[in-house]
Amino acid sequence: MGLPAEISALPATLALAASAVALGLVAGWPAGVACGVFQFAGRRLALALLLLPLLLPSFLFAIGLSMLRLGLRLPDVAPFSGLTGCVWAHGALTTSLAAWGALLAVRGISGSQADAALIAGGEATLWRAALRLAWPSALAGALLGGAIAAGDSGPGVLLGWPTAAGEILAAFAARYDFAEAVRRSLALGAVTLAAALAVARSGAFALETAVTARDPSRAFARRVSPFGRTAGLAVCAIALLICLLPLAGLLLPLLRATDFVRAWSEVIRTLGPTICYSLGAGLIACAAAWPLAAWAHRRYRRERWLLVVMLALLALPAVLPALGWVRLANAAPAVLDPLVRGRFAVALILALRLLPVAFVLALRRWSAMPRSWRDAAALHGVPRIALLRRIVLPHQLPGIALALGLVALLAAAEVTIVLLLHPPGAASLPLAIFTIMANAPEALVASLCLCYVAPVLLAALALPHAFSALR
Amino acid sequence: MKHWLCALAFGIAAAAQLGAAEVVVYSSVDDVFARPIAERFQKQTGIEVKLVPDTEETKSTGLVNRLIAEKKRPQCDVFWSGDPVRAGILKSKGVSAAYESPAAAGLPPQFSDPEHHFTSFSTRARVIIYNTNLVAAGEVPRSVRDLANPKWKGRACMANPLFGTTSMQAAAWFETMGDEAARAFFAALTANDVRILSSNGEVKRRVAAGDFAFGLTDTDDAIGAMAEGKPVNFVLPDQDGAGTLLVPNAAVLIAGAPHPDTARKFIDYLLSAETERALAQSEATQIPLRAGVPGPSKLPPLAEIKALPVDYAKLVTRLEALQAGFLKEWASQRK
Repeated sequence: MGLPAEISALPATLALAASAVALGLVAGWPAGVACGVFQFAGRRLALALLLLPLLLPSFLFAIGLSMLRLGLRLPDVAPFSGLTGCVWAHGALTTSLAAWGALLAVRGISGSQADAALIAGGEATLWRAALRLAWPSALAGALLGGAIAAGDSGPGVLLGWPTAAGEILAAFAARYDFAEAVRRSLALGAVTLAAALAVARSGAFALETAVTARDPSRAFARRVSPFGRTAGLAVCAIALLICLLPLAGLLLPLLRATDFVRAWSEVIRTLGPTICYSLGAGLIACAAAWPLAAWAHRRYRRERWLLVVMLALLALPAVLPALGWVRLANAAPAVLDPLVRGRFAVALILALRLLPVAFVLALRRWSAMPRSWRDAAALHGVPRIALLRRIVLPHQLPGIALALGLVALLAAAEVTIVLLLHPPGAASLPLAIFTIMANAPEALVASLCLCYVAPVLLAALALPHAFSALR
Repeated sequence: MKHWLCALAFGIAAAAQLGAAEVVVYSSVDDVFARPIAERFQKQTGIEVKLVPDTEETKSTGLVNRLIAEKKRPQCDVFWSGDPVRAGILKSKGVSAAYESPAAAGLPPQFSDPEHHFTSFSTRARVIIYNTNLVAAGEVPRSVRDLANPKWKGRACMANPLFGTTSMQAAAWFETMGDEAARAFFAALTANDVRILSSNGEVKRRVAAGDFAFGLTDTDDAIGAMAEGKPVNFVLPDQDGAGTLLVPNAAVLIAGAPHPDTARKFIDYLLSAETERALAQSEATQIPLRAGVPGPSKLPPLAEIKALPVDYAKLVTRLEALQAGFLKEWASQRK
């Protein structure tokens, strides 16, 4: 009798996670720095494309790669299947996280710091300094993506690479042993958690520096130069190759046939629950994150520890809280079913999963509010309620709106939690795509994917603009 | 305060109960095939059908698992299973209840549970799908044993035998060949480099794309690919040998179902000749079990198919043992 499959799959899982992290760093780190330092044509589109892996489920990238290969009649070899295929599918996320981490760090450089670097050694010195500054954030982002990849079974199952998460899912689906699935998920969760904690502890300081924008001096103006244009071309190529190409595979069948009538009926059927889950998750996450961030901000030990906890929470397999909630709901009295088995429960667990995102944005917003406002209000005897209503809330609202939108988009992309918890007859749109893609005609699947990807791309185009408006 | 919360929760629950008549159906049948049937029932009876479909493609944790997890307080009324084995597993786990439907008259009893925990209707068949550009007319594989034929080494594929109808196929091989011969057959599959893919849908796609000359899948996959104009065709294997494995649907009443009356009505509808006719004429292209109901044009009627003689009730225990042991190890070694 050999080792349990999920244990023997650990080396393959680690190889996948490490390769995805490496790809994320090689592609995402310089791409994020280039987007932060230079102004170039296509920058906004490239940033939107680099956001897509955060907003779309990983299984779409894996299936897209598979369909791209079949559509182009290429052989079943690297880079479309096996380890390289999985690295490509997961690498989209690690690249995205590394790039955005780097971008956030670079945008913390003030105008005077940039001027000093330019005087000291020109653009090359600024570029090197920005790369050095962005390294911890990019590394933390890529490692977080790697931890998420290690706990995600989808691409491995679809592209033929054995992972521990895939083996757990296989054992669960084949043996119908709920308790065993929970035990095994906890075991994998513990491994992921340990890795995530190590990453989070080392990366939390960099992240804290990146998100708590306490430097009120002007950010430096992005530069326009020949080097910047070349770097911009490279960024666009990275975004197209890593993030867009797999999705293009999903849409290839549209060249032969479309089925927008049926796709639209699916969209109509699932629109209500999708909006309910995603907006509900956004509202709950914001309601929890803002007071928590208010309690922690400017108390640096608290800030850092909460960031560690949040990053670890994000790295845990999504199936864990869902399985736990199923257990809890079964043990609860029937009278509570509308709460524990309804749409609210789905939104609640999604919010718990995505709380870290809202928390980071909340922390950033609280930190951008000058302490002097509160001191002045105290000095003039302004009542707390009035301060909250007239000053604090208007200042926080843009941040809350952004967090709500971002959490809602991320929640809409989550499939595992919705699959396990959604009340009968209330599937979300990504879940509908997930459940029909095996046997539905290609034209229908492709039409549905377009109905989903197009609005997400539009949102991704708007989000960086909204984020920069927060500064 | 506590009383107020209880009253509020009770009020919400009561309000939820006051809605229109409904039936909650979990279905492992593909959504595109199950939903039109559910909508037709809803139109005829006014009973709202809340359908929860499943997927084989990405190895979801599965509706059977969800049903087992919800056993103490089920949300589901009816499980519409794509095969009788999953239905049998629910019986063995104490999740199903007996229901002898009057609508089952005319359905052959050998596909159903003698204690009426599941009743089978319209069937698919396990078929060999082949690429017409890669397999000459005179060389078409006619038997599942061709998977182990050295002539096709590295050119054949099948789905993971831990899941879906392929798991049922594997259990049927053990049941009909005997343990020793079945293990030898699986060893021969390994030696012949038969590729294990994620699902029957993937088998269809990869054969259609020319990655493999042929593979083992279900009738609906093969006929669906043909309808999309792919260069594929299919054969019912072993028609001059042991026979083709049939995979009928099964309707299961869930024990403690929240809406037992509407559940029985839905099961009656599933077992009716009308549903068998609809499943035959739709993209599902399923063969009616009832004599006299017209079948799909691309498949012969049930009476003309030599079926693999298996006891579907026995397959359940066989499959449970295999999935925990031999198949699990074999599948993980094949990756």
